[in-house]
Amino acid sequence: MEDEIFEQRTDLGKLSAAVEQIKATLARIIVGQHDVIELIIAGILADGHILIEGVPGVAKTLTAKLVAKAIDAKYSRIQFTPDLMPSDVLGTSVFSPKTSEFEFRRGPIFGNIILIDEINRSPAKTQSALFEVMEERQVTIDGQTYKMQEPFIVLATQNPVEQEGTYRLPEAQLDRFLFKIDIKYPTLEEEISIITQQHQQNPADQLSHITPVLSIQDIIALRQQVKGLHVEPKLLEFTAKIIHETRNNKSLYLGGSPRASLAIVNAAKAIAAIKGRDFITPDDIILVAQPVLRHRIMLTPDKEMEGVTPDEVVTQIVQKIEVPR
Amino acid sequence: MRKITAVFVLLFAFAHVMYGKGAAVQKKIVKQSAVMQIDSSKVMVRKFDTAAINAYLKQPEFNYHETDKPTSWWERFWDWLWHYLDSLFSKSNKKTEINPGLPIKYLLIALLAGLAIWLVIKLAGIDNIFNRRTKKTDLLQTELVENINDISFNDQIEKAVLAGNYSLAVRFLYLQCLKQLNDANLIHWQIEKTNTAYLNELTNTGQKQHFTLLTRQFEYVWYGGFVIDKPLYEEINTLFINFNKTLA
Repeated sequence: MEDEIFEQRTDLGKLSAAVEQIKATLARIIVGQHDVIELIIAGILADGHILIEGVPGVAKTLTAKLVAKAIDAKYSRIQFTPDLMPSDVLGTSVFSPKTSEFEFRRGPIFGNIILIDEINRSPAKTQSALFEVMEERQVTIDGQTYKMQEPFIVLATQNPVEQEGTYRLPEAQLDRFLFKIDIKYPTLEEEISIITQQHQQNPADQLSHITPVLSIQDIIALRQQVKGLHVEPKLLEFTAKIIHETRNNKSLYLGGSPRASLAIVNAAKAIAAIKGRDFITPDDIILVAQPVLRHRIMLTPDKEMEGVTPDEVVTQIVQKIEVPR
Repeated sequence: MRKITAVFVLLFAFAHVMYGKGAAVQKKIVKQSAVMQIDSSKVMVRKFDTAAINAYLKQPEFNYHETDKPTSWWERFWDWLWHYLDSLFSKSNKKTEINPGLPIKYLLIALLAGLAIWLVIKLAGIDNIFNRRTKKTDLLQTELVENINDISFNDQIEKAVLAGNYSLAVRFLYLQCLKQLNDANLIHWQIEKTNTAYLNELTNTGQKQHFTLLTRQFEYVWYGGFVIDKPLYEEINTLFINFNKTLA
């Protein structure tokens, strides 16, 4: 009916088709987790990096690998370990006896889709190596700056910090992730479906049958479309109010940064595009508020002791603010 | 027995040797103390400089005699207040044996105690344990720019249409619709709820479908920034009128 009254200003047909294709590709191997998959796609469309957290065995790495496989781009995987050095990630200058000069050997970070597995198993020194490349899409070594090729997406997985052998990621690094997506345990029905589907077949074998759905050019074009979506000033104000409240909330000692405000708007645009709209609504903003803010805000020690979660605080904050209508 | 005797003999011999050594040291000390020198140098007796002391005494910094300063009106006021309070609390009415200042005294003590408790609560940051509910009400009263119960919808819609502001007219149509749903107890109006939240509250499938359609029109106009003209407004208005009929 709305198509009869209003005509879309942006043709989102290709985007919707691509999203449906990715969803279908992933659904062949991943059981359930529809919201997770949608958020990952939204993160990619919003030009953001994604942190996936979950206990061992909930298919975090598999999901990230599948998403990477669905895009026809240069893919690298870095397994973060406690003894990993920044040069192992970024690259290093090596002396060439042939030319008698130092030559830069590019590290695995030089790619389009970078899967960093178990990111919080490396200490802060190695994490710091990612700061520049994640934010500025460039690496500076020996005074030389190397630009990353577009698109540049970091898909990182991690276990909860309560798990043995993990480090808490620096706040500056967490702020560079657009989303932190929590993968929960599957429901009983989903668990039965996983066992039925995979007890005779290894998911790794299934991975080899996945064919790319999107090219690099497609991703760049879709991102441009998402960037151009309409946002009403009252919704920008609504977003700013949410972030402002995180800075004054008594349950938090670290609120959201201006980067978080931008992240909410960009992510909401991607969600709106996935839903076939060329403008955002308060629902889009509220939908992305938790994955955008849960890793950026920090609870006060007493709230942490009480067992309050960042998601609960974000919900309380959102419920305090009047929806512009 | 022989063993014990031998031990005693040994102890006696050891004690004798030690006493002999001590006596020798004492003799040496006596010899040294015999050499004693007498100080025969002249002692110079120093006296205070009377002229310098007098010069210091003339300086005002060294004048320690306090003189009564003229008090300011503020000091005089506090002096008067404290004297007055003192008189209230100390004097008693001899005839009735009731202290007239006693109620004031208790009132002041209660006020001070209340102030102290308030300060402790404020400083500890636990004030919200008392007014958690009140804050919600305050939020509703202060932050809500327009309460849907206070809006004269027909007037506002008419004004907006006359001004050619059809987007605003659609907004009022939607708010009116929400009010009607709230009045019919089909939804529970709250400022923080989104349109989807209201949609989820509707249980009647027909109403839900119809309201979804209206919500989309409102969202395209109000959040999508779509500019609408009179014919388009009339079309949307008809949808709202039809929905309102189902509620009546």
